[in-house]
Order: sequence, then structure tokens, then C-alpha cells
Amino acid sequence: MGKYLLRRLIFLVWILIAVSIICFMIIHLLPGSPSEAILGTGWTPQGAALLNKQLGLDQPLIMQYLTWLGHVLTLNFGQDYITQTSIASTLKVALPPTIELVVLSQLISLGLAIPVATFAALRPNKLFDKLANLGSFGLLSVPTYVIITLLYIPITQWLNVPNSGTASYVPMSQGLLTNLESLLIPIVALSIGSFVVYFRVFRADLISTLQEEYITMARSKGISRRRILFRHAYRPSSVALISTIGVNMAGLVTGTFIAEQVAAVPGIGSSLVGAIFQPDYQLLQAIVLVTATIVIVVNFGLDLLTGYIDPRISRD
Amino acid sequence: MSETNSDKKVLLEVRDLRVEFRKGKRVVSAVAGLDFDIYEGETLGLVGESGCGKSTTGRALMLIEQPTAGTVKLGDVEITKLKGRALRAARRQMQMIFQDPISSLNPRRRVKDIVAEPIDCWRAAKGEEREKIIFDLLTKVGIDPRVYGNRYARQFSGGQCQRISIARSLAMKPQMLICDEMVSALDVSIQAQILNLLEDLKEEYGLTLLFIAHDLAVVKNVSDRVAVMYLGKFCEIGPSDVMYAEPAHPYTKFLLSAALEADPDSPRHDQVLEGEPPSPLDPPSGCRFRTRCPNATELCASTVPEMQTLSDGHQVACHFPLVPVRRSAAPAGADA
Amino acid sequence: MSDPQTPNNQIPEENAGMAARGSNKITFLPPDAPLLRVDNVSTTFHTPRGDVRAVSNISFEVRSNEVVGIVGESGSGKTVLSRTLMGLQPRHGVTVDGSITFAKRYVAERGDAIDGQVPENPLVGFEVARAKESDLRTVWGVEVAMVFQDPMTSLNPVQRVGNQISEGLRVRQGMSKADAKKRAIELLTQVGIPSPEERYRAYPNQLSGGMRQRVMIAIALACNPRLLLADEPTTGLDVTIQAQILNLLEDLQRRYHMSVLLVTHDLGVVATRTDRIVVMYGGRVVECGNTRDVFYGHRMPYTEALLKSTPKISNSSHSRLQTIPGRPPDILNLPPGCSFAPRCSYATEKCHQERPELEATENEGHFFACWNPLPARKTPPATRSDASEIGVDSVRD
Repeated sequence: MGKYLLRRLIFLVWILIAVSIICFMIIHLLPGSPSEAILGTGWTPQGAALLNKQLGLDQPLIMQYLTWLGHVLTLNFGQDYITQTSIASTLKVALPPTIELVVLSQLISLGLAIPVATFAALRPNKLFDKLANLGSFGLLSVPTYVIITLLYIPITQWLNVPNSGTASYVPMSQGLLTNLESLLIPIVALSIGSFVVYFRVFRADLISTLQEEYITMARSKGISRRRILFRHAYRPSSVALISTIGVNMAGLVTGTFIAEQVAAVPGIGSSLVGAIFQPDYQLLQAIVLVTATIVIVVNFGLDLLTGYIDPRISRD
Repeated sequence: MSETNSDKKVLLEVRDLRVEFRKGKRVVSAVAGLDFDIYEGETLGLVGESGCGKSTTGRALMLIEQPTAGTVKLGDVEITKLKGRALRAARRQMQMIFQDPISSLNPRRRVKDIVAEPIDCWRAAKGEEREKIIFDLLTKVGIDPRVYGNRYARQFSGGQCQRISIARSLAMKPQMLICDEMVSALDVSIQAQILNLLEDLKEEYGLTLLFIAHDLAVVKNVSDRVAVMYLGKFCEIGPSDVMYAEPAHPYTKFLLSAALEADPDSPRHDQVLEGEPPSPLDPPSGCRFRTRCPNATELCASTVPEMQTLSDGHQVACHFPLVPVRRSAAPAGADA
Repeated sequence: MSDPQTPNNQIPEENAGMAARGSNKITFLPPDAPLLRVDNVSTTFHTPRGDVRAVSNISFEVRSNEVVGIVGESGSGKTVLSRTLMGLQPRHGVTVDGSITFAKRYVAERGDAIDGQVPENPLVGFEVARAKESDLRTVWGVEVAMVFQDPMTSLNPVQRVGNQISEGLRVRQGMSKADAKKRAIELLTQVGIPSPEERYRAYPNQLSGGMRQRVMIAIALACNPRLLLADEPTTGLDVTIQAQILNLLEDLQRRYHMSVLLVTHDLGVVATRTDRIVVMYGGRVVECGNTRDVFYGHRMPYTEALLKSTPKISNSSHSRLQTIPGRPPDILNLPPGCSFAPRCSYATEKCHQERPELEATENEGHFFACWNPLPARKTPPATRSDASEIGVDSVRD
């Protein structure tokens, strides 16, 4: 396990360096000079000269990268020349609602997918399994924004949660309940999207695990069905689920962007869209770097979890 | 190999055959220097336990596995020197039959086409002539071509698939067959059918056989001579009747005593070989069997035993053979 | 009975003396007392293409301390039978007819059993065939345990072998974690695994095939079962490892007064290690009896053909094997008469039309099912001598 950890850790560092280089190059690869990219429509020769000096754009590229990396590592993303605010503070506002959305939707979807999949897998091709399968297949083909639209009436009117869907996000500092109410629609929508995928993956794996000979062997020891399920079947069945969560993480970035847009949540997704249309390349660079790093670090954690769950992966 | 056999014609001459695999930074020598001859028309059995390198040996002879060192000569052709088309042409003379009959045949091809594959590949025959060859081959292996010729391989049982494999291997009239565990996946009653079929065809086609298997009884029933392999090296090689009656290497004796006879009165050996073979990554010094050998001494740890001749064609690589060495019959350096 | 955490509830009525191995209480039935009675058992699979009877009308008995071999080729139904006897067949789509009875656990001080403390009828119906899974669980592991064929697929790949052994001890016998670990290491030692403390923490893929099978045996033995069902326990192992495992099983059987049901395709495995054998063909018993009677006095042509088609080490090289034409029967499509008739050289019209029932011979407990049996022969007395030790008679020069 130690060796495996070290190998994954080295890999993680390399990936992060690669991502930082790509992010750094965003500004340099754009047409025109970096100062044009950064200042956009506000470009003047004087402003450009000042900017070049301030940002050290007159220095060699490698020096620029190292300086930039040094700043980024201390969470100093610099001053946004378009909005005249610190980028770090923009991120500080935009990150919490997005993280909340992702974490809650993942917890809810997993919390539902595992028991539903278990129930279905215990009696494959019986009524419950068939219904769950059919339902998940149907939901799989409905895009998130359609789900959100479809959720408006049931949630705001039938369930009587008026704060939800009023296009006014309430931060957590103003009370958890109102905060959750204001996020209810995007959370439910994102949960449904993830649930469908997790249910299908885990059900399929659990069915094949339950047919393994070692499950019969565990039965022959005379231990309870529950114990067989939890101790013997869940662990080997969860490897594919975990890697699916990892893949899903990357997809969630775009998923939240749609959800945030439709439900008017001022999260990272909204900021990203704003930065693209502005265009505000400094903000864009920072957002790409931060989200990519989060996705990579989460996947690293999931890799370690897989290695822990299946010793065949971590001990080859 | 042995002068007393010089009257027989050597078909396959193997000298210092070595196959090594890299595993990380370490080297596994799966085959660690084999010298042997196979005479024309004989069957050489090759026995050993899993991981001893017997299958790798078979594959190395076909150059499916590239030998790290050594030479393999088939007749006058040194096939280890050949490349490309010349190598493929030489391989026509040697065919291999594998253990798993079902997965070694393409399930979506017709039996006729499977058998005809080598013929088509070499454009050896066309039209009616091709049909006739296939018809004869299938008939010979006991598969009625009129009934089964157009069926797909997946429709056949293990025994039938093995018959089809045999037919295919004979299509180019090879001189030699290498059979790798070809009956070990079959039921006893089917195994007997295939073994008898192999004997008949060997006679008819004048084949020379290398029969690789882990089952000592099966090997005895088909082989003229048997070689026993342990951790990439030969322990003993000799005429099967002589060697089975009087094994000279302790490992051979252990193997024979562990083999189960279908006879309640067969002797039971309560002393079985203890432990398991050491890792080929880190073979013992000197004699490779010494870590499990009850007779091992310091000599066995320090010196690799040379092959020495006991009697006609019976050779053993052991410092303390269980059968006395006939000095007179064993001129120095009898083996190559 | 339904709570697996309290071991005393596992065995109804006789819970007072229930004790783990190692205490002064030991469980065994008097010699010859029947332990397992299989009576007219058939297993039918309900498939979309119709019912398939994989095992038909099997009857036999396993007495305590007895080793019984079940021999058959592929399609003979031997594996289905062993699963049926365990009650391990899936609950849906399978019907088991007939009755499978286990003797209840008989507990006594060592030696007491012989002194008349034998229950009048120890076979008070634990009916496997009709038991619920929750009831079967009280028998599994503790009364009857199974050694599976392929230890690679039948050990959980993501659990340490130690946990897989101690699980039964903790759940079934209520042992503490530490006690269970101690006992598991003891078991690993008993099945001949070197450095058991280290192996306790190993995962199955870190062990060799032989070691894995030893672990399987340790798991089966953990709760001191009285009947061990070993389904092809040595298939796929090397000859020397096979000998080690068979010797180990025999040794444990003697030490713990177990009964063993040894299911195999290999006549060599059963020849010297069983008291009785049951030969199966096409899902039916075609011959059964004392091992020597079946080997030397078999009446059923299939038994003869099987024996003669098995290559022997004592055969000279290039000796021709007697073969059985055709191939093992397709269980989906059995002939109306004797299943072996299509391959039998003695078959007559009657064999193809009418199925022969088991018929007694003059040897006790020896039955065969054949219309044209081989002539009766007298079984020669045992002549087996255990061979000399290797190394002692080695020549040093």
C-alpha cells in the first residue's frame, strides 16, 4: 500500500504541474499579446506598458511561469484588471455554493443509489428491478435543464418551498434552512442525474458479484444474508462505482454550470460563463486552475480508496 | 545426445535453450539451459509441475516465445536463425496443439475453414484438391465432414474441438507436433479417445511428438522417452519404462509416488514432497531442487549437478542419483 | 435459532454441551451411526426451455467417520448433487425432491458414546431438502462444511484470509476477536501453512494455489463440522500438491472423526482414500459400494470402462487405452433407457427402452444398475503395502 500511495502521489504531482502549465499558457496562447488579452477592450498603449511591467510580462517565459506559480501556490491570483477586484475574493464568493451543490448532490445520489441498487440486485429481473431499471433509463435520457424546469412546479408549489426558484440565492451565513431552500431545485436536479448513473453501475456490479463462487462459499459458512451483503459483496462491487464518481466529478463542473445558470446560483459555473463572455481571461485562468485541481485531488483520493478496497490494485 | 542412440536420426536438436522474462528489474529464467534431441518418429514426454517452464519450452521451440539464447535445429535447418518468411516456412514443419481446445478455435468459423486455414494460408491446394484434403483429415480424426464440416466451432464439445485442432495441425503434413497439455481439460473417457487417435495418426503420418503434460500416467502411455523438468531445468531424461521403474532423481521419485493410481491396492506413499517450488525469480544455488530434497548436502548447494548417464539414454542431473551410475557406459561429456 | 450471534442457539436441544474443539467435550457419533441419509433425491432446474433434471433418484448414506467418494465425469450431476446436499442451490428456479437428513449433533464426553449413550434414532429429521435458508444456516459450517473446487474464485479476493477464517468463529461461535484470531492462526498451522501469523494478513492473490486450498480447508474446518463435503478439492493442483492436500484431508478426518464426502472425476483420488464410492452417470447412481468391491468387483459396464480408460503409470509405454465411444450424455436430452446404453458395448434392445434400477449384489452395500451386468467376482483381500520412504533407499556413490 505504501508503494502504491507513493506512486499515485508522484503521478498526482506531475498532473498538477501539467495542469498549471496549461492554465498558465491560456493567456499566452491567445491571439495578440497577453496585455491585449487581459485588458480586453480597455487596452491602451500606456496601460499595456504598465501592465507588462507590473506582471513582469517583459521577463522570459519560464521566469513568468515560476513567479505566477509562486503566487498561485499562496492563493494569490492577482488583481482582476477588468472588474478591479481581487480574483481570490471573487473565487471565495463563487466556490461555496458550487461545492455545496456538488457535495450534497453526490451524497444524496449515492445515498439513494446504493440501497435502490441493492434492492434491485437482490432480485434481478423481478418487478422492482425492472421498474428501477426502466425509470433510470428514462431519466438518463433527460438533460439537466429539462429536469430543472420540470422540478419548478412540484417543488415551489406542491411542496410549497417558495424560496426555491425565486432566483435569489441565499448564502449559508444567512441561515442553513433558507440557504438549502434556495438551492433545492439544482440539488435535486443534479442528484437525479448522478443517481441514474450510480444506480446502473452499482446494480450491474452487485448482480455479478452475488453470483461469484465466494459468495456461495460465504453462505456455506452459515453467516447471515445481511453480513454476506455488507461484508462480502459490497466491497468488491464498489470499485466501478468509485471510478464512476471520479469520472462524474469532471462532468459535474459542466453540470453545475447549467444548474447554476438555470437556478440563478452565483457559483463557479456562473462565474465561468461570465468570464468566458466578458472575456475575462485572468478570472478564466483562475477558475480553470482551481476546478481542475479540485477534480484531480478528488480523483486522487478516490484512487487511494479503490486501492484500499481492492488490494489487488494496490499490491501488484 | 547419447552415443548409443546415434543409430537413430535426430529430428530436433536443442542446445542450451534459454528463455528469460524481465519482471521489473529482475530476470526470471523460465527455461534455464536445456540440451536435448528428439529422434525421428519418437515421442518425447515432458513432465513437470506448473511454473516449471515446460510450456515455455514448447513455445520457444516454435519460436512463439523468442529464446534468449541457444539453438534449435529442425533437421538441417537452424530455426533460431530464421526470420520472416523463412521462419514461417520452417514452422510448417512443426505444429502446436494447445490445452484449451475450445478457446484455441475461432468460434465463429466453420470447421472446414478452420482445418483449411493452413492450406489457404500457404496456398497449398485449391478447389477439389483442397476439399479432398479437408475431407480426409476430418474423417481421420473421427469427425464426419458431411455432417459436421459446415458447423461452427462453438457447437462442439471439448473433445471434438481437440479433434479439429489435430486435423488442422496435420493439414500441412508437419514432421513434428508439439502437444501442450492437450488432454488435461478432457474427461477420462474422451482423453483416452484422443490419446489413441494421436497414436494412430503418429503411426500413419510418421510424426515426431513432443508431449507436454503434468499427468505422469498420460505421459507414460504415449512417450518413448520422458524428460522431467523442475524450475527451468531437466532433472532426468530417459526411456519411459526404465525411468518410471527406476527413477534416479529424487524429484522424479516424488512425482511418481504422488501420482494417484486408480487402484485401491496401489502403494500409498505417506512421505510426500513438502513445500512448494521456490520462485524462479530467485532460484536456489547449485541444484535447483536441493531446498526440497531430503538427500541434499553442501555439495548440492555449491555445485550445479551435471547431466550424467546411468544407462542407455537414461541421464540424470543429481549429485546423488538413486540409481548407481554405470561408469563404463558413461563416457565423459556424453551430453552436449 | 434465528440469532446467529449466540452460538448456544445454533443447535436446538443439545446446546448445553456445544463446545468448540479443544475443550474436553467432543462431538462424535458412535461408529457406523448414519450421519447423512440421502433418500430418493432429485434436483430439477426450471429453465425457460423446460425442466432439466440434473440429478435423479439418488439414495445413499454417509456414516460417521466414513469417507465416501462420488465419482463421475462432466454432466454426471456430481456437482449439482453436492450443492443439493448442502442446500446451496438457489431458491428460485430449482426444485429438490426426496429427503436429505442430517443426524443431530450428538455430544458426549470422549468415549461415552460407545457406552450406550447413543440416541435411539439420531436421524431426527433435519430435512435439508425442505429447510428454509435461516434453518440451513444453523447447520452450515457447524454441522456440514464445504471445500470448494477452485480456491481462486471461492475465496473473497478483497478480504484477508485471516478474516475469512475467523468470520465463522466469531459469527457462529461468538468468539471474541482476539480468540478467533488465535484460533484462526491455529487452524492455519494445522493445515500446514508456514508462518501462519503472516499469512493471516495475506490476501488470497498473494498465495499459491495449494496454499489457497489449504486456506479453504481451514475455513471449512473452523467450526468443527461433522461432515465435510469436498467438491473436486484437488482439481487443478499439481500432483505433489494434490498429494499434500489429500493427505491433509485424511489426517484431519481421522483426527476429528469427521465424515468426508469426496466428489471427484478422478478415480485415482478415491481409490486409496475412501471407504465407499458412488459412481454417477447421467445424473443417476449407476453403481455404489465399498471401494474395493467397486474397483475389483464392479458389475456395471460403465465403471469398468471408466477404469480401463484411465491411463496407469504401470502401463508400459504406447499401451493402448480402452476407450468409451461417444461422449458423456447431454443432461438436457437423456435417453429413455439406461443413460449409458448408447456408449455401452453390452447394450441390448432392453437397455435402450427400459431404465435399470439399482440392484443389490452379494457384497453388502454394493449396488449396480444394469440389465446386462458383468459377472460377479470375488473381491480380493487388500494387499496394499505402504511404500518405503524416499531418501532412505537412495543410492549414494
